[in-house]
Amino acid sequence: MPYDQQNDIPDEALLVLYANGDAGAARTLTLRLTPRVFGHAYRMLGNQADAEDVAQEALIRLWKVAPDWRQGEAKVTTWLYRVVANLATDRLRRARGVALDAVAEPQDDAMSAADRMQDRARQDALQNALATLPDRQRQAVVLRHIEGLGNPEIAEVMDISVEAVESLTARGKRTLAKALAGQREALGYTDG
Amino acid sequence: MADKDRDIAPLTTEEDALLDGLFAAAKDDPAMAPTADFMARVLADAEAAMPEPAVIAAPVKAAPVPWMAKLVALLGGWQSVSGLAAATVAGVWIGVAAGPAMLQSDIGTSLIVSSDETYLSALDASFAYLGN
Repeated sequence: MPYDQQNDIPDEALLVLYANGDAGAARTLTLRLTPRVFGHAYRMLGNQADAEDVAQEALIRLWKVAPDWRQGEAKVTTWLYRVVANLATDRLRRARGVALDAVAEPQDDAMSAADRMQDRARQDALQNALATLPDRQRQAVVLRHIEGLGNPEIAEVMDISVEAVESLTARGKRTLAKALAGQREALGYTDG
Repeated sequence: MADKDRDIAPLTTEEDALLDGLFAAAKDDPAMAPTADFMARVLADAEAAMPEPAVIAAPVKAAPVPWMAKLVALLGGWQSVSGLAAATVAGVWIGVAAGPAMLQSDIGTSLIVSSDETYLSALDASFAYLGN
């Protein structure tokens, strides 16, 4: 099936097409899922190399499980977030103290150099603050406020109750706010 | 989002605005985008692990049967046809070898005489000699 006809097809249906040898589905799933998986891994791990390793491994597992995928049991993204979280947690346990300053420079030419520097400083500050959170809090905050998942889906990803998700995100935000409190002016937040 | 945990102090408006701004910017952070090289590696993995397309075999169309083969099959196969051919050749040979003597014999005469008995003999071998 041509790639441009697959943009509206749900991930789960594309996975069935992929399992039946549809090369277009492989391309569509790669383009659709890789940024989300990589981004989440990056937020969890704090550096590009580890994020690529974890994202690649998570997606390889998806390709392998595709022929046996059971429709209706879980969303592909939910399953992937769970695999990424498990892989990232394992990696963090093995090697604490990952480099948090290995963030690549943005390539947006529309922004002025000053804007780019401030935007980069904000993202670095957020990433550094996220790195201070316990793993579960960081995962919940990232899924809720950056990936944009709803609490029920986060509960499914993390295998906890919705109430536990709300508690984790609330505690995480409280800790983030505290970590960033002294940087408001430095980050350009002078209003209100 | 309102904090529901009573143990956790709610965020101030300023704190909320700070975090909301950072989260919003983080969603579009280009540093969190995978590189083209990484995308290519993932796609290569996907294509390498992809099962082969299911092949649906076309129905096998029977080859056309020559008319000669149909005739042979109708007659009971090549063995029956070869026996039939041998009997035919033998009959022709007997006819040629016998020549005029056959017609001059009693049997030959009976075959060309128009009588009721001859007709009967043509129908049934047991009447073959009644015309003599």
